[in-house]
Amino acid sequence: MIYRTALLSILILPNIGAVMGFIIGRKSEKIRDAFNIFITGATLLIVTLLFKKVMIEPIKLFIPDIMGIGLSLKLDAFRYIFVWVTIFVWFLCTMYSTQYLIRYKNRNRYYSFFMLTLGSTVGIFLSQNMLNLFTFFEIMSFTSYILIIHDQDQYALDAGSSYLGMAIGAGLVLLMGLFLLFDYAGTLDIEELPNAIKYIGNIKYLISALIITGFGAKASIFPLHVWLPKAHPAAPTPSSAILSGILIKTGIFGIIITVHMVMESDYILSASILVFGFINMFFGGMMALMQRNIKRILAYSSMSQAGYILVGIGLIGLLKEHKAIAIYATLYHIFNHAIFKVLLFMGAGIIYMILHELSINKICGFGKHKTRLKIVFFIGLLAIIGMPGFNGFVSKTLLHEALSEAAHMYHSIWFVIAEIIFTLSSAFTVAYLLKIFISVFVEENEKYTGQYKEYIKKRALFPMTILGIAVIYIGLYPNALMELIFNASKTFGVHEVSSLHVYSVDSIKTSIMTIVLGIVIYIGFVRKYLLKIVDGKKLYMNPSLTWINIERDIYWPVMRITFSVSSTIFHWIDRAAVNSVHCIGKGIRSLSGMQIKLNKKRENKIELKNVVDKRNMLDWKEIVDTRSLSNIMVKMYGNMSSLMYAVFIFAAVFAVILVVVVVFHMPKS
Amino acid sequence: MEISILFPIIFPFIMGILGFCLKFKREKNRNKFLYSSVVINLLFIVYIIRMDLPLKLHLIKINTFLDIYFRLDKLGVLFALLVSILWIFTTAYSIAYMNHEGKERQFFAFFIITLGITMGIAFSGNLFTLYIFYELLTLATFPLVIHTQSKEALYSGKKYLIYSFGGATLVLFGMILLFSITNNLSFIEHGILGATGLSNKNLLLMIYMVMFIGFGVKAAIVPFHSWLPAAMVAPTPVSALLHAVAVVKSGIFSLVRVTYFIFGSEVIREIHGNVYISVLVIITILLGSFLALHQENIKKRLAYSTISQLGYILLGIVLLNEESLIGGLLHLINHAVIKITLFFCAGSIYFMTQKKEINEIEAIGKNMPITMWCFSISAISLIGIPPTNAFVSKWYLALGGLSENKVIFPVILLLSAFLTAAYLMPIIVTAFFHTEENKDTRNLDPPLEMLVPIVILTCIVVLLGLFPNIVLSFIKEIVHEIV
Repeated sequence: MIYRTALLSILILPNIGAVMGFIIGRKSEKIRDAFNIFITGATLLIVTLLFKKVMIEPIKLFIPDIMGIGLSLKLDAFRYIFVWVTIFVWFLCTMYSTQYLIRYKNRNRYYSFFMLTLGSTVGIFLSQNMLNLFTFFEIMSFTSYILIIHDQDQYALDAGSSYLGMAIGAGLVLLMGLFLLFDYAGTLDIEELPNAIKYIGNIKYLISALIITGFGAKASIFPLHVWLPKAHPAAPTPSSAILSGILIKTGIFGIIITVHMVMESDYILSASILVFGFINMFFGGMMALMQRNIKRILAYSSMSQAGYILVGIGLIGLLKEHKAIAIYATLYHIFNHAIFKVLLFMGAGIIYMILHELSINKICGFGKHKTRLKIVFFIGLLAIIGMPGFNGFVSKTLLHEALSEAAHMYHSIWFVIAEIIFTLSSAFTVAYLLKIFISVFVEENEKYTGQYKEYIKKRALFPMTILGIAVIYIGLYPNALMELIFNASKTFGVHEVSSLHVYSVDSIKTSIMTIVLGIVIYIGFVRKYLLKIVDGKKLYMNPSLTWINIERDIYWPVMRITFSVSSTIFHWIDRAAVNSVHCIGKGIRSLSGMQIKLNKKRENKIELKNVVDKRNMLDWKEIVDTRSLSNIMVKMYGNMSSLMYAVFIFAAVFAVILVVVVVFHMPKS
Repeated sequence: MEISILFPIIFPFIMGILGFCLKFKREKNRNKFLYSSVVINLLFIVYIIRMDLPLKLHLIKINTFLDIYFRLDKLGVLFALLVSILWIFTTAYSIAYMNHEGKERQFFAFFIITLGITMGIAFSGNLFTLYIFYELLTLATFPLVIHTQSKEALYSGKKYLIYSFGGATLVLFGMILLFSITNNLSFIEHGILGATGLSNKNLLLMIYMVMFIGFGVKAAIVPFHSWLPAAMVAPTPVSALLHAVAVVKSGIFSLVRVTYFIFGSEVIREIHGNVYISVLVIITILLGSFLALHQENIKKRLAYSTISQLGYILLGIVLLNEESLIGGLLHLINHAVIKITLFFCAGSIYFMTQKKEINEIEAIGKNMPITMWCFSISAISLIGIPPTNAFVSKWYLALGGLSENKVIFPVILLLSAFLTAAYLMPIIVTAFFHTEENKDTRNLDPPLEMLVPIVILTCIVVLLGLFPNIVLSFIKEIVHEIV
């Protein structure tokens, strides 16, 4: 019972925090900040305390009647990884936000939605039912929208509408998948689904494609990544940090659930995820290399790292009985990426906080004399490039091992290509991070000579330091997380337990080779081709601006054309009824041009009268001459009130119908 | 006590006329009078529900055709409860709103009478009675539509009358033809035709089409929908009523009656009546959503949105299976609650700031936070985002479409949901996130009489989404009996 209450409380606490924080924030901002840190801290504490219990057995909770089918939650080791890292990162980001947002407006709104997003994100990871998952997923999309457009300038609003459009559209595609899934399976409970859909045949590929598309937009799968490079620079840094570190993982989580839990690691699905993973990995890395905005570089980097995770997900399916290593790699990388990416974003955020500028052409040399910032950022860099001794190395090595095992199993030329892409993408990672690091922290710039130091608050550096320690600790003791990950892999059906041996001569050699290749790319490509000297200043160019842009050159034109064509059609239909009436009216009017000869008797009478008054006669004659059907109609029309008119229409329609019936039906009967 | 079924129908008539004749010394007394009328009427309904259910009353019976016959069944109860509960909210809202529109005496007289007529529609026991009240509804709402008596209002009023009477004529025609076959027009579960009436399929098909289009005019089925956006000139409480509750929903309600109580789903399946109609319905759904995108006037945008949402309900009716009808009836309720909230919010904006267009309401969320929050929640619900109520109804509608083995229906639903987002989200974004230079931080939330209904209705929107089982199980009972 106590565990269930605890489970519910980690879902509800952030939501309470959102409401209470909003109320408190109207009175005092300081208390609110402390309150938010306290709430996230308390949630983190509860989750951490649940660890022992989760290692023994999963905690389940079912509340009936909510949304018709009830709310069903579950916390097992697999979900625990996601939940813990989410709350951990959120806790640090809340702390960081209190410093970052000092000069921003609408802070109260920001914190409320920050906490609401936490609540819904945790909800996603806890949901045991696809419908609950979808509900939390949608709530998260809407609440995070408000975090992205926080600046409320034109750029942020544009980025926001891209994000929201993608989120809603993808959400609906996902919903379509769920409709079909429920129609075929009759249940949406994740545990019951595998059995329920065993014999539904090939329709399951359609269903999974729809669901994966829905989750893929959040996981920034190519070509659904278009919101990512826009949203990250627009959002305040703590938001971009969680967007990158955690929200991408919600999509990943959905994909893992779909491919491995529901579809039971179907071969075709896994293979396609693998392909998308490699595309993401390569494309993201290449685009990151071209960018000049630090946050955009990091955003594309997230896309590339999501590719690594997707490759891991794909390999789990391909490796079949030997999948343990791929599972470890995937889960480890999910955890590690959250940690080092948030660290890097926080570093970028501190620069932005002071200079309000993100382009490396302008902030060049800023960090040369800020040693502590430089050190923590450098730790993040070493982690992401997979330097031995840091956490990125652990997961990348595992992933690489899984990949070689798959190559060993399948002996296909494709795996040689895959190996090349993998190495190249890792080298790209090295190159684009060096691009940031060298220009911001190494190069000299007379503008920045150690001023602004007082702006780098300890409370902003503190979360980064914690993350840095985590990075190194995991790097040195790769087995630290293994108990959790072994337990988690039971969910995938792996039961043997083995310890990890990441540090071997081979793996270190591979890693160093990749880093060297990355440095070569940095020197040979970035510095040679992207760095131009204009007016005596070194400026980075971005050739990708002239490349084909998926959103601008494909999505928008297609949407615009569809939209204008269908609007024209519907406008026509809209007016159809009225227009046809007008047409008939015109026809009648042209008929009414015909003169009608009036009754002769009446004419005579008029003339008789007119003998008395000649003037009168003239008047009448005029009227008589021009009297036609239209005059009569006009006169009738003028005399009619709208009610009469309605009765008239009533009679007219009735008459028409009767005529139709008489003509068409009488002969039959 | 069969006569008690007449209470909720007659009582508003009396109160309406009484309210028109009496001269209230103070506005307060009049308001008390109005409140008590609508609340007592709700109590009447609750009272007769608690009696044994098949309650029948032949009021006047000249022959089997000219027969004023009332009958109480679950479907009628559902509709009557929905209408009379929402009427209470609208009364509160109108009392504050109509202050600046003037001619309140006339307005409230017709306003209360319309309630009685709608009750009549809900409790009609045969097609003839339904038809009579259906025509009366047009007449009683006409003065409400032309309330401002501007040129535009009169023009729209005329349009409204023409369309409604045109539709009613079709109904009458269908009714006469149908009577010639069946000799009976009373509503019976699974239809009155049975197996006997299937001899002349073409004639039956024609009758069904004619009646569907006839009643469909009030339910704004394309191409007979253009009275609805035109009737937007009416004061907001009226548009809210026209759109959300009384008029369009009466059309829908009548269609349910015709489809499931006169023809019966088996017969319609046999004569393929739903095939042709469903094409019209799909066009209705898409047309409403697409054209809503082009409207700059908030109320007009909502009007086109109504057309599209009514299409959803019609789809639920014509798919002819249990799940879709559950979805349809659920959406009847959910859409009523959502749309009335949206209209009330739009009305409040107009009432407080005289603003009608979307580009005028930049940053209004700062001034009217509660109103715009309610607007946002209802709008998100209308898109069909869980955990709000429209999601539940759309879920059932989509499943209904799938159980007919037609993937096209859920696809259309989702496409339209996306368009719904496309035309509603900009309003929210403009209201909250477009910063305006002048920092006017006055609180412009409307007076309590208007704000309280809005807030309560928004709560209902969310609660019906979180706990749909109460309504859902009642609807399931209804549907189980008639499909």
